[in-house]
Amino acid sequence: MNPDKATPEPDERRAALALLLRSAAPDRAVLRGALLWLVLAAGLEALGPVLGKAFIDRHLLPHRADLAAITGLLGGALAAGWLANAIRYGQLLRLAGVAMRSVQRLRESVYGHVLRLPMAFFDRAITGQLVSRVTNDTEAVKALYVQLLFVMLDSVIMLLVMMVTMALLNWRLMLIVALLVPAVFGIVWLYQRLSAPAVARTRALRSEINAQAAESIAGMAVIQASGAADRFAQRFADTNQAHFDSRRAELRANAWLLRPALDFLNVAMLAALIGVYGLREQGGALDALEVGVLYAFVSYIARVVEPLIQITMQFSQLQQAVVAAARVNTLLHEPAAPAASGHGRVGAGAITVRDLHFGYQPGRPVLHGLDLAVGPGQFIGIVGHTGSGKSTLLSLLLRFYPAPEGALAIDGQPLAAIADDDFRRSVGLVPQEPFLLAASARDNIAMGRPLDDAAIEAAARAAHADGFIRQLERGYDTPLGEGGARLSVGEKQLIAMARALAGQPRILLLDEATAHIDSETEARVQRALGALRGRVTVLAIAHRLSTIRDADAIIVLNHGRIAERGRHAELMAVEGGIYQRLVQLQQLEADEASDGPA
Amino acid sequence: MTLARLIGGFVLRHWRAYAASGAMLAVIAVLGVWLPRQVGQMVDGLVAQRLQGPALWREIGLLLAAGAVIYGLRVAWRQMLYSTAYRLGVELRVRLYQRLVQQGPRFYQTRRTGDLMALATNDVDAVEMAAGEALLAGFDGTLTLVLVVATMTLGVDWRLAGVVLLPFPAMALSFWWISRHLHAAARQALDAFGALNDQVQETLSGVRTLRALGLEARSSAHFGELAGAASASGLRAQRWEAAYEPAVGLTLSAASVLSLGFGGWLVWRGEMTVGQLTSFGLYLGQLIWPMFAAGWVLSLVERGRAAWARLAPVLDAPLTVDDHGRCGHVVPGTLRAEDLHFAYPAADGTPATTPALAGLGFDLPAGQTLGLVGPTGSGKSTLLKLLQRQWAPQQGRITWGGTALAEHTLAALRAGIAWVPQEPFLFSASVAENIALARPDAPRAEIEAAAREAAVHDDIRRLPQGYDTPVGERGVTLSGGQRQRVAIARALLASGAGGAPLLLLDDALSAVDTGTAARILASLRQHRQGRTVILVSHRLATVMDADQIAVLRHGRITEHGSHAELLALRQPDGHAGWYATQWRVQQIESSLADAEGPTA
Repeated sequence: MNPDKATPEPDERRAALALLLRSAAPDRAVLRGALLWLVLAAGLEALGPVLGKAFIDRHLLPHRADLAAITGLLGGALAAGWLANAIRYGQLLRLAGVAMRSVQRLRESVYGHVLRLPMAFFDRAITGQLVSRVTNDTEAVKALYVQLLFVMLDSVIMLLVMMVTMALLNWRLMLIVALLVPAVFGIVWLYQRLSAPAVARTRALRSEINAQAAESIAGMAVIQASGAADRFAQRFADTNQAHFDSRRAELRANAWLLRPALDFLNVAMLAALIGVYGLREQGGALDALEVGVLYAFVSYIARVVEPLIQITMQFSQLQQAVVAAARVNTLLHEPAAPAASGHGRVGAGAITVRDLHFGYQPGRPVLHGLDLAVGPGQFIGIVGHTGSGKSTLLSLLLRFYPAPEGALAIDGQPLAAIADDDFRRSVGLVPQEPFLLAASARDNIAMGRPLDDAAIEAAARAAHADGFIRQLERGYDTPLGEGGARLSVGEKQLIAMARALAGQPRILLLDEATAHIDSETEARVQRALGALRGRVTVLAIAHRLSTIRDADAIIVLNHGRIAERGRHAELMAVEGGIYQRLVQLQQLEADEASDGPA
Repeated sequence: MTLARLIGGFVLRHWRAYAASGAMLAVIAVLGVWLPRQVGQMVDGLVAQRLQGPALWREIGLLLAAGAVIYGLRVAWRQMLYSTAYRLGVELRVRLYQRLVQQGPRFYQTRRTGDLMALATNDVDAVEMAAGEALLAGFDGTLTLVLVVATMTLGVDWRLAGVVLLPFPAMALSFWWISRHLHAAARQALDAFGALNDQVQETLSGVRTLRALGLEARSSAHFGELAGAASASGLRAQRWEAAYEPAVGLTLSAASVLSLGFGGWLVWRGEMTVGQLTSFGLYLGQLIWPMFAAGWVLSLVERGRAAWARLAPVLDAPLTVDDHGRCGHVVPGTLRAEDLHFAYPAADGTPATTPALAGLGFDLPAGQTLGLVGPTGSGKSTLLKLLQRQWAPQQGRITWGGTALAEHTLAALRAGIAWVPQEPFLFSASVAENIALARPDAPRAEIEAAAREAAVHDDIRRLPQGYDTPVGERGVTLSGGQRQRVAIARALLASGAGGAPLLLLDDALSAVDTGTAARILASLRQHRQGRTVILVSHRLATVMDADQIAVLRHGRITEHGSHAELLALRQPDGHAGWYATQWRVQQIESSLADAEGPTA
């Protein structure tokens, strides 16, 4: 979807509206109540000039001094005005509450939905854009609510009540004032028609300016090296000039058709009212009753023009918000991953892979008929060159992508048939790039699960991470992640292992980091894995072959197929075999790394 | 320079526009206060039945004429004042860009792209607003206030004015009080939103871990808390923002009633007319805008000042490249580096502790090819940057054709070197324009020839509009290998016949497959044209055929010779040299990569 789109499509408008109604639905009763009170407030507001008119017509001009009545009228006008303001403020607050709650509901549902989306979606999506949908776009929806509820609703109610009151006073004059409505709409419509091309052009040029600036800053070295600096500066100046011209065009429409025109309408309306008066008085004496009405109507004009302007001016801002709302709607309709509906449970932790074929995209297979049987408690190593399919196998075992039926099974049950919560508990993952929260070491291991300190520390010991954690400045309370202690790649992996082991899984999947880690941490990882033997089934994708040297079996993947399998010694005996070459390669790289000053 | 002086200088430069706008605003203000008075007199005329027939029409005509004059003047000054203010924005942006374009890598090292972008956009906007909106609103608001109060006091009745204006200071005070609280609440709302944003960012970045640990429900609960906090603080901010209305409403109500009451009493005693009473009501309405304007102007000025405080240092930042050489063109000859020592300075200006180059020297006769290899971070790219004088060595020197690099003008040096950086940079333009970046007037035939040499001609032909296809941010996305080859074509065009005599390729073939790379290298050798080439690569096969190969480790050349010599090199302890070992490693790697299996 084009992020720079200015006007929403009709179906987008409908979708956005539907979204708004859905999110606000639970607060229906509050909305209704607020509406009624607002009508009352508008009525009280309209009452003020009426009382003023009565004062002028019944007491002031005829010189009828009825102090009680006068006090009543004036006091009533004050009370009505103040009450109207108080009620309106109260209702606007209630409406604000509705807006905030609706947006909160919307946000929570979007967030919950996003977390349930299939992994394939995250592979395609750009994290930044996704975050923007959940936060910025919903913020725009909030703006939409506020505009609609506060401004539009309020203005419309005010307008209607004023019209009704005017009609009750003098319907002929009211009709004249009512001409303002189509006049204002007409002017604003004309403005938007005439200014739309200039507005779009300005926006596009502004975008262009930003893009040129960003691009130039990023590629400054190349621009300078190519001697193109002056040309680029000229191009930038030209774009700015075009932007300036476009803004002037926008300004023209703005100046002729917005505020000044509306203010002139105001004056014209005044003139019209007075004119009508004058005409009527060609005949007899000016009925004293009429002057008060004139006074009242003069007050009303101001109270009518302002809401009208508010209503029409909000449209352009509304458009942006509608586009954002449509984007949120699209996200909500993205199909979620099918929930695992089975009730199977993981038992001893035996894994069976039978004739597994898989590809991320149809027609581009990554795995070609893998067959593998892993007994409970066994330690299996998986190696292979980049692109051989190792990580894909792991992702499938984690149910990140849907595997073909019957291809994967745990303890005899199809992978897809195992209950979700049991699966998460029983299968642990140590990812290639462990993700650290900006939180303490303790929280990073617990990750929000209800684990007491004893359990956390036991897991850290099992992962051989306890040692280095205690040596951090505040031990388990040391903040890690962004802004916290910097851990080496190996230490991060140990934390991730502790995290996985804390859940006491039956099966542990390990995707080793590719970077070098120091030999001491390497030894720790090996010890930790060794200790799991017999209790936890371990599948480890290894980049450092020393990790899996003692594995019960090593699987060598090559272009999505199992090329070799066996124990370390057997595989090393294969002359020119892939495993042998991989070991040689690692040996040479290790030698090279240990040469020369570190 | 302070913001005041910047704007002051700008106003002086455009004094005619500002003076004319000011004059127009003054006329508008005067007419603006005349209107209610006129209405009042007309109402009186109607009541007393003095105003009828042609006299009535004349008065109405006057009213409409005044309204029309106001309208016309408003249209005029709006266009004049705002378009003048826009000019300031253009000026600032262009100045900023011109400055940026002259700055060297040292400047960019310490600044984030995001911050520089914010300067060019938000900050310039804020200064522009201060020069336009703020000036206007300030002038207009003050003038209106003064005129209206003066008219009410002197033109109608000073006693009534006094009584009716009583509530207004309270309104002004409440505005000030509301804006203070609004400011704090808005900041809090912004923080809460930021926290929400951060949490979503963190979660979505680590969604695999979240999924694997089954933490979706917990994460949603945490999000719910943050969303609730954001909602609450948003509500508080909204509350304060909505408070302006009742502040105005209560004041106006009170003022209207006061006007009716006291004014009514004056009318009763014959000291005032009903018409004047009506005018008063209109004047009251005119007082709201100046009240708002005061707060608004202050906030605009504050924002403008803050923005200018960020902009000014960058506009005046000293240039980090010096260009004192006088030699206007490069004489191709031997490229010689002597005992180069260099360390990148830390952000605060002090040199870093680990040197990038620690005593490096080489001798490259014109027309030869030098292959530079070595582990990551050994200094290869750094050397290329020093050759272009993007940085200056702390010790040692580089000469070319006998003249020190520093003696050349930067323009001459840049014209003499064609460089392909590690990260190819394509800008938003057509493929042809990208290739011709250094030689914009090159004919299409030469562009295509360079593309053919870089083995990218066929790829380009397959694009939707061929050489005219837009690439870059908003164009077609090319693959990594294609982008590298376009960058190579660019350098080849720049170093073609009569062009730059030195070609620097910094790991320029990393994303290109071995077969295509071999073709490009063969083509390079064939069309040598006396070019001197320095080829940096991680793949030893790329530099195999170079005249000289140098192994760079930890900022020094540790092995040097031809491919055969380096393969045979033995270290004092009997082990093979780095080059030889690496060669074996890469042979095994490529054998593994080529092992049988279907290709993607």
